[in-house]
Amino acid sequence: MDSASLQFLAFAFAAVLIFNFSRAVAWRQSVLLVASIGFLGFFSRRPAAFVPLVAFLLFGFLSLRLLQAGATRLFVPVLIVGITSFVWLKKYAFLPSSLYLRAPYVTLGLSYIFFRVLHLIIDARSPHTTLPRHISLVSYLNYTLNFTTLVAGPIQRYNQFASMQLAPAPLPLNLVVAAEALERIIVGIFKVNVLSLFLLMMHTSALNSLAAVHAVTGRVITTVTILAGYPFYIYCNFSGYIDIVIGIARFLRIELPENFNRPFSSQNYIIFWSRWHITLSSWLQLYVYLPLMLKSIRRWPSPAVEPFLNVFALFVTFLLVGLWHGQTSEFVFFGVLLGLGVSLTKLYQVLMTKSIGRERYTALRTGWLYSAAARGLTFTWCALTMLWFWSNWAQLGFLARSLGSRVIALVWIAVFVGASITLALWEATREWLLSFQFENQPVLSSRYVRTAWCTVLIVISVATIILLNAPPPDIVYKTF
Amino acid sequence: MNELRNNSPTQSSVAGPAGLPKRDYIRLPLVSLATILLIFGVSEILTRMIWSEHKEGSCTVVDPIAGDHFKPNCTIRTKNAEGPWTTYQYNECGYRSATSCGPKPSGAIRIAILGSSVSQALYVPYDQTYFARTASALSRSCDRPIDVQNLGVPGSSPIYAYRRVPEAIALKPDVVFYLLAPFDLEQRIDPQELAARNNPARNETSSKPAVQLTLTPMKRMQQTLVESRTVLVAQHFLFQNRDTFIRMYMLYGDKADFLRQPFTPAWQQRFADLDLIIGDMADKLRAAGIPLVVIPVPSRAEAALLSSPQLPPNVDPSAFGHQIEMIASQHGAVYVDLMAPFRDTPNSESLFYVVDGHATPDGQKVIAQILSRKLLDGSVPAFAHCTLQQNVARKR
Repeated sequence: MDSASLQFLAFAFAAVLIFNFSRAVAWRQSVLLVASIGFLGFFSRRPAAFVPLVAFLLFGFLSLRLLQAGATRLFVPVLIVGITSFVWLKKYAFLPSSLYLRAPYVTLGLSYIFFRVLHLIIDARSPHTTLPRHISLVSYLNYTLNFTTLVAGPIQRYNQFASMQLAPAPLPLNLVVAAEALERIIVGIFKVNVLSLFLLMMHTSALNSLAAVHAVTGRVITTVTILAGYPFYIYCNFSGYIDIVIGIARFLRIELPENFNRPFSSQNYIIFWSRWHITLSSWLQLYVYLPLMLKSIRRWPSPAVEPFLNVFALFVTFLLVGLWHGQTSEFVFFGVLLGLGVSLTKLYQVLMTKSIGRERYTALRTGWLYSAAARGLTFTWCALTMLWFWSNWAQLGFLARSLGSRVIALVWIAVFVGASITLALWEATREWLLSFQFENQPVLSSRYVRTAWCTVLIVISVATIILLNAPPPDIVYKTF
Repeated sequence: MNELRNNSPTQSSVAGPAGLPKRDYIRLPLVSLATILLIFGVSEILTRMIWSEHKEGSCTVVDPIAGDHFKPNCTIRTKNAEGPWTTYQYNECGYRSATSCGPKPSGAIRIAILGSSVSQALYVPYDQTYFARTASALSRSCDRPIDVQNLGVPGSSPIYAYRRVPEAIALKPDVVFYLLAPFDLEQRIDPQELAARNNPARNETSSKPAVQLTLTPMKRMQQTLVESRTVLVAQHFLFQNRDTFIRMYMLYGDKADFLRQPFTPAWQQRFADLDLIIGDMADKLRAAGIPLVVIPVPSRAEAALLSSPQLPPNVDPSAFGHQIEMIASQHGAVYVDLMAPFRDTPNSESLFYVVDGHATPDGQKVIAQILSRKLLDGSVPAFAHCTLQQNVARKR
């Protein structure tokens, strides 16, 4: 059952209806827990398949309790056991396969549970923790297994979740809030069931037809479609899923954090990652980047060295982002490229500031040509890194051999120029459209336009779902 | 990494602002409704442009007594939304035939065809029709020209097909085909018309009910939807999926009851009426020494069910064919079973226009193959001396 399927929506709305029967905390807690366990039940009918997941959850809960009870000496062992268990259960390729569990088991959502459990363990050990002193098993399970965020996030902090879920008075749910939540769901359904479906079809069809295309222009166009189409596909797929779960969670009186913020408008790769899978990069910023920076600065306390430590810390953080995405060597390389992307961007910023000064550098960055080229370059790097995200070494080898160095060079130039022009035009159009104001707000964001827009989206989505009569595309991040 | 912090919205944008102005309780649904109507309007224009339907002229002569027929020496070009442009050329008798309806050419075997749109091979170019293909195959096997006179008229009910039997006999054919599909029996034959089937003129005034000019709003809406090209295109894509098509088709009541066993009283009555008609048809032809071949053409629903690995309960896609076979054999007519070959063809529902339901050129090819084979098995005397083409080739 995928989050964009009608089945899931029906399940979610049944849960929403029951959840809102009573405002009592106990009722809300119980309904959310039953719904989350029920949701998990859709993924296997064999209770034994859930044993590893349950064991991991129990380990997390016991660790939390021990650390909250003051057993801080156990922090490092607990952390090691937690990370090792995760790596083992996710079957990372560098482990000998003889170590893997032979029987099939459910790992759905394990990656996101891992982040939540680690967040609790790390915060429980901190002397300045803001976590409550007592977290009940039900609250812990609701936080880690919440069916709206189980599959692919977003990664919410416990306090944020508990402030809404455990509040005596739940978040208000009036007509406007409900309409806005519904709007998010409709937008999400459209992104997943229509846009991402067509983009995936386009990507797959271009990939399948590449071998049959012989003319250089045809090969360039087909390869550009493959490379440039994928980031848009993954964006529509993942952000669409996020839109759906944010909308549903709001009906459950929970506000989930945003995970996307117009990432393709980013003018550098660091900004890109602050707008793409935001909760993941925020988590790593808090629990990897900041501690690493702090330790490095303490070790080498020199202002001259600090920018370069920053570059290093960014590289390590984003290498981990890549490693988290998958268990194979392709993802190690993906991580290296992510790390290189952000660290080289940082290094460039440091060097430019040093060579031409902050003011001139800022002035340069605001120029339209520089902005367009920077956006194009960011997108091109994103498309390049994603090659290791959707393919494997064999496919990459085939692509390289069949295209040849001349076509490859032309392809990347085309992606860069095309992205620079397209994204610049998109930004200009967006700005122009938003310039039409009514009652001090853009006409586009008025409720009338949004109502009409949502109607259009839902009609197109329903028509696509009915006419194609195909299952909704998988949520890509479900597998991570 | 500061940029990370500055650009990270932490909460979603579905926070609850103040309430809605009262007027918006009316306005917003109206905006939504207007948008739906606009989308429907635009999609109707677009689908009418892309899936166009045309009719250049008309050859039909409306005749409520003898049944509609075509003007002599008339040509018309039409295109339906799902099919290609088709030219219908009618000879001097108003039959869809490439040859004259005059005296039978010497040495030729003449076939007369009665029936409705399935007989006429609606929406299929002449060369690709089952009768042109059959004629061509038989001509090779018999080493003689085959002359086909197609009296089929779309929308012709069994009673109108019956009324054209004397016209068919006058052509002095060697064999008469009567093709019919389940949808030819959808409308029950008027009992008065049936009783007066041999002298229709006397019941001229009572045979047709008065045309109802006023439609209820519900009927009008239904009519609009039926005629909508958007709906047609939607159905075209939706019904390409066999399971969906079967599921939707089985939602019909009486229209789909020819598939359900046991037959409902309404369908039993229809078969009883058909039994009378085919009986009289066979008698008249027998008196003129002409054999009758009865050919039930499967509908798309039957073909889909025949290809389906699992049938809904109490559904038998062959039931209609069996019933026609029984009627035909009772009256000494030759029966051609098209069900078995459609069962053996994978995805045989693809041999029909998805929404319209008539056989496509590929479907016509299958019908022609079976028909030629059946006619050469010795059951029709006119073809007794002919040999199946592959046998001839083997002998040579």
